[in-house]
Amino acid sequence: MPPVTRWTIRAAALNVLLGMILWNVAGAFQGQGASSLASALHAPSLHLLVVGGLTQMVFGVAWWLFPVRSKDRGRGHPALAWAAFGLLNVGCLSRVVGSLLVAYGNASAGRALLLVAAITLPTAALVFAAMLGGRLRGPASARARS
Amino acid sequence: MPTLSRVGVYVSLVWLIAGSMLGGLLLGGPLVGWPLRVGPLVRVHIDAMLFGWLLQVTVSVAWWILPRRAEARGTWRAGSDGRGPVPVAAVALGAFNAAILVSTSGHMLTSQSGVVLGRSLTLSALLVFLILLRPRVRAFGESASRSPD
Repeated sequence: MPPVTRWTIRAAALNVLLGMILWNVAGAFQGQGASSLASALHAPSLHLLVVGGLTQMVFGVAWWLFPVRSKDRGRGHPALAWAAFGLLNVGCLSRVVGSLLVAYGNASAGRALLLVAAITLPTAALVFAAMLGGRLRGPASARARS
Repeated sequence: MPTLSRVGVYVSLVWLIAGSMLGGLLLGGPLVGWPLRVGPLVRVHIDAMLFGWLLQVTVSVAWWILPRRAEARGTWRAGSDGRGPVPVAAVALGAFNAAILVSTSGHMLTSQSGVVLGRSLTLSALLVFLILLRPRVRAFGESASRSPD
């Protein structure tokens, strides 16, 4: 299993754990006079579960499992994979911290972090799609290129 | 990787890009003063990411990776490569994507019947896939199988 896959699976597990905790905290505060905390955590916890957890898990396993480009080129540029990994996790973290800051702390810093998330998460998806899209091919063309 | 899985993963990547771009726009747009109809667009974003991306990539990879029915290779029922009837799966994949387009259009046009129709079609197409995949889920040594390629 390549290092990118190992780290994405570890990070995905961490995101799922954090997402579940925040989801439960949001649920616990739903009807107890702290509904702003619940609303501040609702969407970020879903993003942690679906983007940081599931999407990142798919990315890591696909990087490992999808057909390699060729014997020489292997799975592709690891630097790009690490970039997608970094962008995705920075985006998820910015999403959570930004939402909390907008609700409770420094609103302008929170908005800046949300803007970071709004840029990094789609960029991570683009890099990820570009890397995996190039590795989708049938067994015949795989043999021809290797 | 069989053609059906390649097409499915390609299309799911398109949904991922579209859904995440829309999500970025929804998150960042209001911060820079862009007026957006957030309500319907959030539902389109959720449909694109959950159904178009995650569910579709899962089903497409499952079609590729699950053990093949080696005992039925070459027959009409199992298709030529032992994965299952490819035409039926291709129609299900097409219907699945058409259904997501119907439900997202329903969100945008605030048409409840469009959303219900789209969701029903999505569920039907997914059920067809699950019925096709079910015989390929089995224990080691239960019957002869081939590794994916």
